[in-house]
Amino acid sequence: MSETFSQGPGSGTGSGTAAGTDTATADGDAGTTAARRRNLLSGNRMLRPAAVILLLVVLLALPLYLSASWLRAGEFVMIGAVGAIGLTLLIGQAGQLSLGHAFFLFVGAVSYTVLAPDPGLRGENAELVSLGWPPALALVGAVVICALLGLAFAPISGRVRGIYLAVATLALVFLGFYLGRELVSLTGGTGSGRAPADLSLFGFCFCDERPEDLVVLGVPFGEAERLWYAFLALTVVGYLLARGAVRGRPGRAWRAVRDNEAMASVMGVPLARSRAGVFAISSGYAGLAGAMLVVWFGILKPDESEIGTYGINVSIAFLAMVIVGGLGSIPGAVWGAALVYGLEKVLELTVTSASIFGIVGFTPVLLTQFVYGAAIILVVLFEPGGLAAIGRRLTAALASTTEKGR
Amino acid sequence: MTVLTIERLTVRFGGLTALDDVSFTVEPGTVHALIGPNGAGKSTCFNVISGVYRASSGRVLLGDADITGTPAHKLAGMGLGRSFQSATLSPGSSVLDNVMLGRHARTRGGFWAGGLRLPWTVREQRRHAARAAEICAFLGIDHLLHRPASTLPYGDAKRVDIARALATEPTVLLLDEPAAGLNAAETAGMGQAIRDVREELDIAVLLVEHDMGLVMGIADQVTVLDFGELVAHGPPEQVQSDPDVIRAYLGSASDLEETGPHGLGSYATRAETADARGSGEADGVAADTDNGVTR
Repeated sequence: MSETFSQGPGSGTGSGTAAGTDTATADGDAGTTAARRRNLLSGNRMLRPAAVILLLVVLLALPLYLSASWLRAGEFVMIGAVGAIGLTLLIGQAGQLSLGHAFFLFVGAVSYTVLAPDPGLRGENAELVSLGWPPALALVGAVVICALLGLAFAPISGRVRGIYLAVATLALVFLGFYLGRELVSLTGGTGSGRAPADLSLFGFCFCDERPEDLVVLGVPFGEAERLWYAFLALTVVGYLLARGAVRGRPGRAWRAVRDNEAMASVMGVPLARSRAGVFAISSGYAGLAGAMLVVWFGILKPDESEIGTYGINVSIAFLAMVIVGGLGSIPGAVWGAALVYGLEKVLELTVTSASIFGIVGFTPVLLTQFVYGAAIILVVLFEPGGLAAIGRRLTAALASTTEKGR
Repeated sequence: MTVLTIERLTVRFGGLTALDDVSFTVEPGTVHALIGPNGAGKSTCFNVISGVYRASSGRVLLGDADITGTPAHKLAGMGLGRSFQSATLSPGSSVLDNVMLGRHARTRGGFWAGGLRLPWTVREQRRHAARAAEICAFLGIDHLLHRPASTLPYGDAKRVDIARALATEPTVLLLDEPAAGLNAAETAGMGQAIRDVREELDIAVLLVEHDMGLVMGIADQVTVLDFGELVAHGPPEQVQSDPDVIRAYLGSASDLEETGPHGLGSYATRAETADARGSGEADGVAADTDNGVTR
């Protein structure tokens, strides 16, 4: 063990031993600090804020230029980003491997639908339970329910480690599949499902209701345009919360528990509480993503098998986002979501024929799975820091070239 | 007043008695060394004091407070700081971030406070980061604050480990083999750092160490364990010439004949083997800490 460190003196800074760079980039934490320092040193102090403002302006202006179907693709990516941020906190920062993310997505979707008013599209079905809360409150309620459910899982998440926790959480997905089928009064059943209420806030509906009422710069704002802003706000809030936590006291505690439990507890971190806490937070993120998903789909429909909207495949897709993005990195989670969820939607929009390369059954979804499968292998082999690390390297290179250019 | 009292401490793992009725005290402003051959129970003793293991019987007092059986995470706020055998740092985090972990018990705020970057949290973190940087400066590693811990030379990593323990503002600092894996120059520097902790910060130090040169050079008191029992106790000169201690390390004359010729230098060989194996004493923490560094 001392070998890794005793090689250190020769290896110096960033480009040290393989083990060194792997771990240094994996957290995103020390890496960004270093990148920030480099920016400061090279006088590119304005580069980062300027890039952030530019990105926000572009994101805010997109609904004026993109068609509804492209906007919906973007919204799908945002759903993925929210869920992936939650999962990267759990897996990357706290070191708890979970395959149960899809279950919490499902619970979030059901909670939102049950808490919000019944849109009355199928009034003949009087069995459906609906609490009639304002939709925005139902959204918050869905997050809280999922977080509490995550907390209730603490006796398991606090004790079981590694691959065993992954298997234990995978069981949740099957539980969700079973409950979705059985609790028809909540879920609407696998046959027809049920409709969720449109998202609204203080009487403003994020839906197609009278689109002529809201015209911005000649563009009528319908559901796709309105939801874009709602989802963007939720994603940004989720992003900033996670980033703040990771950089602060809770993030340090999570990483300490991940890296060495005895060390973490000696430093004052209560292990069980820390592990349960991050699991609850991650579940809350999944719940938010689930509620967004059901609003986006416009229908809550429990899966007919363990592979579906809330199935194993979804858990694995989220795992892929987190790994490809770079474990523990919040921006990485967003990039991972853009790749895994974005590629699928982009292919659906651009590929008109039912089969790609003329191969029957080679659908956009299938191709995406091939691509992110390959991406996982490439990341694990060549850049364990994922897209986040590649991004950092690019900005560092950019900073040094602008420095040279002066 | 005595800062740390170990009172008739016994630890059993199944049929194995790792510590047998051991008592000693650590006085304020002293460096107290705990030595002994492999498997003597030094690490077990450390793990019981720092709350990682439970004692079978006996008491541990920190100042006046009985801390026997107190969970490890509560001790950090009570004045007990600890470093680890192989500098167990969070490899991907910066040095400052690692040292800031030592402030965990002295700061507040969970996910919401941290996530929302509430003004009081930001102020608190800034204040504590300044203190952490001060501690790093004290140990001469303040130029490394923003380096990822995984890129540090081992000697610096061990200093970060000690800085983190000091960041808990302890009254007693437990150092688990601070010189293990260090070269001669680094060991001398470590000795000086430990002296500085005692003299400038007035913190009592209890250390486990195999490097006899270091122990005899800096310790005010030495406690020797062998097979879980206290063999000798006293100032270094006295302990060095104690026949029981020599027997513990080198075996008796009859043992020597059985196992073949050994010079007096054989202790060094034994200690080196121990270091190379990460001092594989039968405890889970050693195994865990190994894991932490190599990642």
